Amino acid sequence: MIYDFLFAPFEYIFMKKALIGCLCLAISCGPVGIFLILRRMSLMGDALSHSILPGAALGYVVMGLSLLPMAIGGVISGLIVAILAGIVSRYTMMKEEASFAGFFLISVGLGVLIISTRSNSVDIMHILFGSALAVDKVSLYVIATVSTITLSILALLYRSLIMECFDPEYFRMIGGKGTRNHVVFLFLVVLNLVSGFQAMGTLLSLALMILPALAARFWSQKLLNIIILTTLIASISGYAGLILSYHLNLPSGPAIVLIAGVFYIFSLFIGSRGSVLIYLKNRK
Amino acid sequence: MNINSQCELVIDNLSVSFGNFQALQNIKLCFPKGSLTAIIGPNGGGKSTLMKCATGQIQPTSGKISLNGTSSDKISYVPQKSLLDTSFPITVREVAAMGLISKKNLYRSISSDKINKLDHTLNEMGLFNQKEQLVETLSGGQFQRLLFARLLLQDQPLIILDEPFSHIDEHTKEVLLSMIQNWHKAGKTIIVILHELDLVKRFFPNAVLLAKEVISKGKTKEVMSEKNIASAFKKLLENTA
Repeated sequence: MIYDFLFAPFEYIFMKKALIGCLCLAISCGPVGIFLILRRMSLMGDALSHSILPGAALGYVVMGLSLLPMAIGGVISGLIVAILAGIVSRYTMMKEEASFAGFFLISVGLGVLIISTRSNSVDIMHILFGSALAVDKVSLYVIATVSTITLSILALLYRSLIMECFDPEYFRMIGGKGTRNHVVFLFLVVLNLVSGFQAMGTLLSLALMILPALAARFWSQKLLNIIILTTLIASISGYAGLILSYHLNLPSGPAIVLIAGVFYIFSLFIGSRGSVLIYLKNRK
Repeated sequence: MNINSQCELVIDNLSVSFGNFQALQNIKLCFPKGSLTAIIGPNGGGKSTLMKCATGQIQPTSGKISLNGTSSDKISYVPQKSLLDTSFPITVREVAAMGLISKKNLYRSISSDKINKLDHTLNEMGLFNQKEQLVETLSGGQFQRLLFARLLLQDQPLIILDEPFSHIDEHTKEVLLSMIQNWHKAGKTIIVILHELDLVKRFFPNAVLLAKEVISKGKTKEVMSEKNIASAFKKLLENTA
């Protein structure tokens, strides 16, 4: 009975692929999500996740529902928005976060317009909300490659990212390249968003970065522990979301996001640090 | 001998503006090697902006800054505490270890010798037992001692401190002041931005009074005359109007 519920679904090859894809995403999205939060860029990440839509849509219109062209299109449009927002904030009075908001809204409009020229409602749903169950071999290669690149770059930049987050003035003074760090990090965010949209869709791919990271912050104080916990929560969310999706015939992307959401709400209330429970205890 | 060769830091005709706002105007200063100088002046007078130029964080609009044959990464610097994210999940030991990291070894591991030095410095600053604690758990005084520990580990000839005594207890203030005096005796060049004028009078032989421009510089007693202080406030109001 337990085996049938928890493990039997993964006897199917499409479920195996979906699970491997979700675990690879969890390993790479978790650490990126933590740095997004620590750099106070969560909402900028949201803007970026919408910015990949027109590129992905163009890839779909030209090559059909296939991850590689959609991913390439997504990376290009995401990077164009990031670069434009950076240029606007540098040379005008507009702050980076506000200029991101302007460009991502234009991107969403453009993306939906492109999709609507040549698609049916099933395809639109797939692009916007994804389907982990449709992860194929090429998608797995893309996801695994992105995870490897992300972890390698984060390992290389780990110390400088921490120094820059904690004390940006000091980091610049010892010759640290803050702008380069920012650009490389934005590139990693875009790569991971694109890598995640086959499983989660363009609108939800950020969720696997942010929700587990937010939940983990309520349980640990040490950065390394937070990163490990984030990855663990993201992995469990992926696994449990797929099980739910299989048994209850739900779309996999939203199911995974909702499980991660449950982790967040649960942690928010009973987490061991800074939670509602701790607040109430301290009031007594 | 060129007078500039006696200076650890030379600020030559420096002006800084942000859009239409003039933050600093025609600043000319020399901080001699081994000197201990307080930079004082009203809020908005450009004290922190001047030091950010010296540490290479702000590019001046005109004029130049020369460090005695070194680059800005040869300066030990303690910023205002309010500019740091103290809620960041980082331990005391990790913050102190930043003092061992330079541009050259940003991507390399820290040698065991340096790690021993790190533990020794934390011990010296009374923070050894807190080394695995998060910085958010430290008191204001302990946090400032941690920033001084990082400074000690940097071990550079020029030290710049931006309001190091704000929000700390009297005991820690005394400890940090005696450290500054020891560094001064050891021949380091020290520049401190300060608001506590009584401390400036007691401990700092030289001062610079700044109100977007240099109002006075030299011996502290002369710089801190009532006439000069009044002139600084008047100048700032004129320049702001």
